[in-house]
Amino acid sequence: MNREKMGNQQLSTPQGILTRRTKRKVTDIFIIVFFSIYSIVTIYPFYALFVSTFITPKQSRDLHLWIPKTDPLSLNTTFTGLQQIFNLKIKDFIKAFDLPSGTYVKPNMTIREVMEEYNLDEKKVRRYFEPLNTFRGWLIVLRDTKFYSSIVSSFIITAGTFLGEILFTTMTALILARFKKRWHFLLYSFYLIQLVIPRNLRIIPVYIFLTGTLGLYDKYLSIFLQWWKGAPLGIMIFTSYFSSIPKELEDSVEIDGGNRLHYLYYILFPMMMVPVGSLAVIRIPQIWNLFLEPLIYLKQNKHNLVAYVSIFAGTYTSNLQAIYTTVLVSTLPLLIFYLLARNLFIRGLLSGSIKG
Amino acid sequence: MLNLSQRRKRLLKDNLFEISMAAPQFILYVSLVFVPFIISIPVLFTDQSFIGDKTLNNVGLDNFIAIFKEPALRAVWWPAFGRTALFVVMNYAAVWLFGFSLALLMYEGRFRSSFFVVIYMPAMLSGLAFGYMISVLFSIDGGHLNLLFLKLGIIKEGIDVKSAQGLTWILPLLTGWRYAGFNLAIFLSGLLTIADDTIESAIIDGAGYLQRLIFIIIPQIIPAISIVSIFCLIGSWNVFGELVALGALYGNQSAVFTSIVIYQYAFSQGYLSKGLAISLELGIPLMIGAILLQRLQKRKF
Repeated sequence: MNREKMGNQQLSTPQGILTRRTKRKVTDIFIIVFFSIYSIVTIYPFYALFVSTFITPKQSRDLHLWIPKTDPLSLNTTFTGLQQIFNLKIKDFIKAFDLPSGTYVKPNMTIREVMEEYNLDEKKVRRYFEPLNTFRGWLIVLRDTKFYSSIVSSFIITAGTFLGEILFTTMTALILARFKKRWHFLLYSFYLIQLVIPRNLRIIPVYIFLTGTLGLYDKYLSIFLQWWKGAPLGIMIFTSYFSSIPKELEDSVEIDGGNRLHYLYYILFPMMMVPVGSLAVIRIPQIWNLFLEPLIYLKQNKHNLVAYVSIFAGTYTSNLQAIYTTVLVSTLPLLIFYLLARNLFIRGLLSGSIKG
Repeated sequence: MLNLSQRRKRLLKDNLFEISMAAPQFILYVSLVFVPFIISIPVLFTDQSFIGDKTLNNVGLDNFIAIFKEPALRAVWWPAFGRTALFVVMNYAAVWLFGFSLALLMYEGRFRSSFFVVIYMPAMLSGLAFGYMISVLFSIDGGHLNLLFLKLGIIKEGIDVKSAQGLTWILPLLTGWRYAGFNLAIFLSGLLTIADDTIESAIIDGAGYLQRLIFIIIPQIIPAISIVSIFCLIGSWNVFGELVALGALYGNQSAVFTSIVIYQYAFSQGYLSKGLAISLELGIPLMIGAILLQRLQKRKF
């Protein structure tokens, strides 16, 4: 008997359909419940990181599922301590309490001593320090000018690297698409050799070449060039996309008297969002999160956000609030980009851009 | 109709155009992938400490045998190598636990993009941020999950993620969680290429789920498996930022993996040529491994 007919017979009985439908429903419910729990478990560490930015060292030994109420700051804290903990500038304090200009507050004086000497209202003083105490981590980071320069650096590195890679890869892929000549195929295979060269094999030789031979230490170009040279992923995505465009379009440009540059400008550019989007979803997070390259190629004033976090954590080793705040703030731009472009990420990842 | 010389001129013009378009990136590629290795060859046989070091001495093959003969480097390198190798194996297991299982569930449950968006989110973290996130969760004296598990009675004492045991179990597990979305995407792309007819005919033939998984699904997604394997088995050796966050550069010996040793020797301790030699000694076998895995990907089943 035909297996298909037999199978259909078995499945098409009322009991068969009911069993299959019920099984399907139960499976769907189980999967939705599982993924819902998994999603909560995935989001929880981000939430825990956020709450940790408000937890003082004294409170860190207790479990806090929400932002805890901060204990009031002790009035016996010295101004030295305030400078270390809150990055407080004494001149800001003098200005806030309208003390005469030229007032000298000794760093080893406590808040209480300053209050008594200058006859300051205790309530007003406590009100001044309360946000500092609650948002200490945030204030330290947001008052640090290096934080802002590291954001600018991150944008420069990401934009310069990605746009350059798009430009050079487009030029290469335009030629390699369709593999009309033998050397096209050889060149394409040549680029793919990179796939098998591990990163830790390349790092030091490239460092010696870029900083020693070319003298590019502390230049953004030293990072740009490492991506502009082309990566297998970009070459594969762009070449395969350009190859998929009907040859008739290319021929029609030629018939109309145009050359390949016209073809690139009038036909390919308007359609570039697809390969650019597919590459962006992998590349932008990779470049934004670069750590070792900015650390070894650039001086501190040009460090990106990730390198800034590592130096910051080395400076404020005991101030976990500030460290966690820096970590969270350094992650936010990319998270926001990801959530805004999530559809692009899904399309790019599942269209096999990773496989290439 | 073009005559021969016109055709030749046109071909020449065409070739010149192609070369001018492909040349810039090709020059950059050769300069930054192959030339550095050539330039570095002389450095391997000297005691160069840093870029610009003028007092170079020829040391022969000493840099290559340092990991076997030099006590200070031996004491650091081989334990780091062991820790890294263990991490690679555990991470690979975590890839299957998270990436493959989630992909199967998504495949069976019909893809739900909202869940995928959340699952992929941890991949947006830098290695350093991820390492600090692990500290937030499992710091011995105040980690969120430590305190939660202690309160619920799941554990009797906190898990110290910075200890050797913590790094052996927690770091690979959480790394698997971090890249779950990425690996899920690769596995799912492979699963979606399996023809429905193949699965249905197996069901009709009476194959159970496990049989379908072992004899039909897994053999058909070998290319996806080899891509994930290449990324994991080769890429895991590069773990760096996470270890810095867990104190590798600040005295936590348990967090010193091979990438940290190479970084310290080449960039912070002034042993550039030694660092270069050990990076080659590690990188070349990895490259051979990557080539073999790539050949597996191209194999037809």
